[in-house]
Amino acid sequence: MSWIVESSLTAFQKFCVNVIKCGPIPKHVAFIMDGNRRYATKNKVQKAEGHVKGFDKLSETLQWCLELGIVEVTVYAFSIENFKRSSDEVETLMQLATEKFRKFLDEEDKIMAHGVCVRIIGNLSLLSEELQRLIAKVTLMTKDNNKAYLNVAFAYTSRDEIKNTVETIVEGVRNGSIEIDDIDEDLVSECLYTSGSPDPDIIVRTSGEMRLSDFLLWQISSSQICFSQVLWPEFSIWHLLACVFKYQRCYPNLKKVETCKVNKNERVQEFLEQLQQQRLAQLKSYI
Amino acid sequence: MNTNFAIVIYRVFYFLLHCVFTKFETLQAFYKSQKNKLCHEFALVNDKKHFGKLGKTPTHLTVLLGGEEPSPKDLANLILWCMAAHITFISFYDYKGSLKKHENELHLVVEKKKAATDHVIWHSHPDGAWKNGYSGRKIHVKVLSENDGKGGVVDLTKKLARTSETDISIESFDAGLREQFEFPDPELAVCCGKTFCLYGYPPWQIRVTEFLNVDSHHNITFNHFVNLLQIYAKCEQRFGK
Repeated sequence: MSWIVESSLTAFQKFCVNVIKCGPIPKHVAFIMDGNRRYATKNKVQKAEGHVKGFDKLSETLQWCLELGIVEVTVYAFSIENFKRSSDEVETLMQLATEKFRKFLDEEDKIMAHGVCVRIIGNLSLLSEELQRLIAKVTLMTKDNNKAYLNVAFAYTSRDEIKNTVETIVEGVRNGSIEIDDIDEDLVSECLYTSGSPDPDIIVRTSGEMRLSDFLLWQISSSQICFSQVLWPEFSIWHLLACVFKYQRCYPNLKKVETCKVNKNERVQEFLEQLQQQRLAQLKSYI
Repeated sequence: MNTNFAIVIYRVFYFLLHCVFTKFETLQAFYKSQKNKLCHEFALVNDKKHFGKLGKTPTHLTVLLGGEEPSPKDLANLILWCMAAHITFISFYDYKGSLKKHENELHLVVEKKKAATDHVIWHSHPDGAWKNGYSGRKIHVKVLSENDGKGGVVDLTKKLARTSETDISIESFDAGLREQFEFPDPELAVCCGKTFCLYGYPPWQIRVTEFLNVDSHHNITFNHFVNLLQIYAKCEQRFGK
C-alpha cells in the first residue's frame, strides 16, 4: 500500500466529518500506534503481517486527518526501547521501514503534488547507513513542502531527545554562542528534534494502554490525552472523530493551559539558525 | 447556494450534537452525586480487607488536580487511604499553585484525621524532610506546581552549563533531576477533571506512568480509590519489548 491513498469514507462518514469541522479542529495530532502485534495474535497471522496492517492504517489515518483539516501528524513508529525486542522482529521492522521509505521516494511526484513535508525525529545515529541515507533523502526532498506535515518518530525516546537537547544547549554556552541567562523553556523547545512544529493538540494512544511510553513528554504538556481501546490496525474514522469531539469539549480549558512564547534576542535566534544548519548538514552527510 | 445550505445543515447538527452531549453530562453528574450521597465514607479504613487482594500497588501515586480548586478534605482522605494501601509516596500537582499557597490547611485536616501512630512526612520545605526511625505507618507527601515541571529541566541545564561537566547521560541527568524531585517516578497518575491533560506536569518523570482520569477529586469515594488501584494492578508493562 502506498503513502497517499484515496478517501475511504462513506457518504455518511463524510457528512459527520463536515459536522465536526464546524467546531475547533486540532492543527497537530500525535499517535502512539500500539496493538499491531496483538492484532496479529488475535487474527492468527504473523507479527510482520500485523506491522504491515499497521502501516496501511497509518496511510488511511493521514488521509482522514487531511479531510478533517488536521495539517500535522506525528507518529511513534519505533522507540529506542524497541531495540530490545527479538532480533528477528527488529530486523523485520527495519526492513519494513526501508521498504516504505524507498516506496516514498518512488512516489515523489504524488507526494510533491500533495505538498507533504516529512521529518524523521529520533536518534538517527542508531540506525543502519542504508536507513540513514533513505531518511536523509526523504527529509531533504520534502523539506520545503508546507501543505501537510508528517513527523515520524524513529529510534526515538523523549528522554534521549531531552538529553541531546541539553547537550546542545550546554555546548552552545561553552563555545559562547549563548549565555546562561538565555536558557529557558522556549529555548529547550526550540532545540528539540521537533523544533519546527507546534505542540500537538491531541495525543492518541490506541490498544487500551494508558502510558505515554517516553513519547513527546515535553511537547504534550497541554495536549488533550485520548486513550483509545481499539488496536491500531482496527482504528477507524469514528475513533478519530471521537478524539476530536473530546478535544472540542475541552477546547476552552486547553486554551487556558497553553503558554505564550516571548520574543527571543538576536543571540538566541542566531544560535537556533546555526543549529538548523548543522542538522541539515548532518543529513546531507548521510547521502 | 447549495453549499451554503449544506454548511447551515452541518452547523445545526454540530450545535445539536454538543447540546445533547452537555445534557447527557449534566444528567450523569446528577446521578453520580445522588449515588455518592448514599454511601457514606470513612477516612480510616481496614487495610487488609481492601488492599490484600491487589497484585501490585504503586510506590508513588501522583494526583493532577487539573483545573480544579483543591479540596483539603478530599486530599487528606487520599493521603490516608494511600497510607493504608502501603503507598509510600503521594504528590499533588496543582499547576495554578493555589495548593502550595494553602498547604497549611491540608496539614491541619490531615493532623485531625490521622491516627496518632501514623506519620505524614511533608516535603514542602527543602530542609529536614527525611527523618528515619519512625515506627508505625508513614507516607511522604509533596505538593508540586508548574515551576517544578519544565522549569526543573531548565534549572538543571543551567547548572550543567555552569560546571565543566561534559559527559551528560540519561542516567546522570535523571540523577540530577531526582535531587529536585526527591520522589521516585510516579507509577500511577490520577488526573482530575473532564479535561484530560498534563497541565505542564514534570515531563521527565512520566515515561512509564499509568494515567487514569477521574471526573473530580471533590467527594471522591473510598470505593472509587480502591477501583483506581485495581485498574493499576491489572496494567502490564512491556518496557518496549
